Amino acid sequence: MNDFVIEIEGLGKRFKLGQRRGSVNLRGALEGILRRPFRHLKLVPEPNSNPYVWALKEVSFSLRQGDVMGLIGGNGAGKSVLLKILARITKPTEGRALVRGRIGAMLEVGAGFHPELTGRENIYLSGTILGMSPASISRQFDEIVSFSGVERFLYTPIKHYSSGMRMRLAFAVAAHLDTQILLVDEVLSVADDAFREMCITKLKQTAETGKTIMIVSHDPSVIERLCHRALLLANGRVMMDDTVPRVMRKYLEEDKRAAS
Amino acid sequence: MQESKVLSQTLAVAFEQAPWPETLIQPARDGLSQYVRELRQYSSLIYLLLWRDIKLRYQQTLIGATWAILQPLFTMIIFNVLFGRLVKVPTGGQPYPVFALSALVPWTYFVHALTLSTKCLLQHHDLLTKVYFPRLILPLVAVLEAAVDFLIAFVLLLLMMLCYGVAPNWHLLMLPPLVLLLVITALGAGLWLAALNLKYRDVMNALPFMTQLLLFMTPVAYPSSLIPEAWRTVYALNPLAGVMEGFRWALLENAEVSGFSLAISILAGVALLVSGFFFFRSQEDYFADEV
Repeated sequence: MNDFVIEIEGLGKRFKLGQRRGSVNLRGALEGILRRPFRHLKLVPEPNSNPYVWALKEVSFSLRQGDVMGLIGGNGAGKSVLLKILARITKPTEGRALVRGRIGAMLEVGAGFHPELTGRENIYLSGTILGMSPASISRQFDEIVSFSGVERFLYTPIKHYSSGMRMRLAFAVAAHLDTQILLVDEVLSVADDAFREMCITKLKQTAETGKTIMIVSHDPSVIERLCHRALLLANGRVMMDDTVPRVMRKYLEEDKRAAS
Repeated sequence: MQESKVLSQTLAVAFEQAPWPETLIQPARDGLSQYVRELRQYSSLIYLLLWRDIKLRYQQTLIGATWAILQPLFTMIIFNVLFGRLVKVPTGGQPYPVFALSALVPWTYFVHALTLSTKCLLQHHDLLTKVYFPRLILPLVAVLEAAVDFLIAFVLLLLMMLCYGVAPNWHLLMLPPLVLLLVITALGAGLWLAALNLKYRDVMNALPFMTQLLLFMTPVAYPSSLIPEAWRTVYALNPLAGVMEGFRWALLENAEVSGFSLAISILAGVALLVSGFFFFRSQEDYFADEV
């Protein structure tokens, strides 16, 4: 019997390079079929003989309940892909992950927001989409509103909000997610300093209630304040899984080395 | 020693009975039972998205709810001029406007449901890439949303029947199962089209043209008795023929529906739904990557 809430073994995700993301039409598909016999004869130029890229490869680690883990790495290291797989938005190509508990994902703020609906309506809409029950939203409604600071404009369609207000409202809803596991992806970068402070404090409170959290951030201070464990990713692989100070040191070393 | 063993065993049992759902994330498709369980879990999302779409539609438009009536109404008017007055299609003694409208109302629902369903995945591209929920909910909401318009148009139909003094008989009782058949067929076709449109974007462009063709191959503007005897079996293979004629039979007198075409409709509707469900499920894992 173990008390791991997230167990990840050998997770990998492969993307096809040059994949025209969905904008294939029937004509294109037919052309593809007609071209195929000619490829062998090399009459038609082959775009790239190795058209795959592994965004994640052989990622394995485990989290216990109450762990707050930071994901650190350069751009394209695979941090967001890892969160997307755990949030079940995309499927892994190999490996597996076992998750105990409900997952709430803050991958980008404002999921489900519609500009024509009022602030109040969007709170309920976004909250339900993120996985909260209507009862849970009602219970926390006042807190969400005061956190976002848009009391006066609650009954105005959010298309009239400033982008900052929209972001605050979106984050306010997501911050009150009551799922056992939270995945947070780089959502604080657009916040101004004051709101950012509020968000970090709120996340810290959430962590203290024993929830399991995974955070992606480029801001070292966020990781240092919230997490006690960190994962360093580079080129889709886990470089290091250790305490925050050690991982941060390695990350900065690698950064410096890459820059020189 | 014994006590601690008992204690740890008790704790182990207690933990195993913890209500936290266990989810396995793996390359293979999720099991069917897990899928169905999640659909039930997310049922409140269905109502919420439905509410949102309906509110938005009727909030933004000037004419709002009347839009649901205008389309079948105007088509009926044009048909009345062409097929009722000029060509004089046999209607079994019924006034042509009622004759046409009784099939136009379910037809308009079908086309509307299909249109909404085909674009629902692309339309919710932001949700598909940011949040998890069973994707089947989106075409389901589309089909239910069109049903709201259908109900409004149905009221129009009843009013027209009243105006023309056409009284329904016990056949009306068959209307609910016919509506169910219509929704099942629309959902099945919608699931196919929604998934296909994500991969091949011109499905959406081909749709209006295809439904227009289908309209003329279905007994909406004219009765199927117009079709020569030799071709009638082939004609009945159109899954919508039975449903449309069934509607007419349920609402009006002197309307006939052949058992054969109705049977085809039922079989085709169920086959569309089942095959659509499995096809959609097979493509679902790649939606976020392809959208």
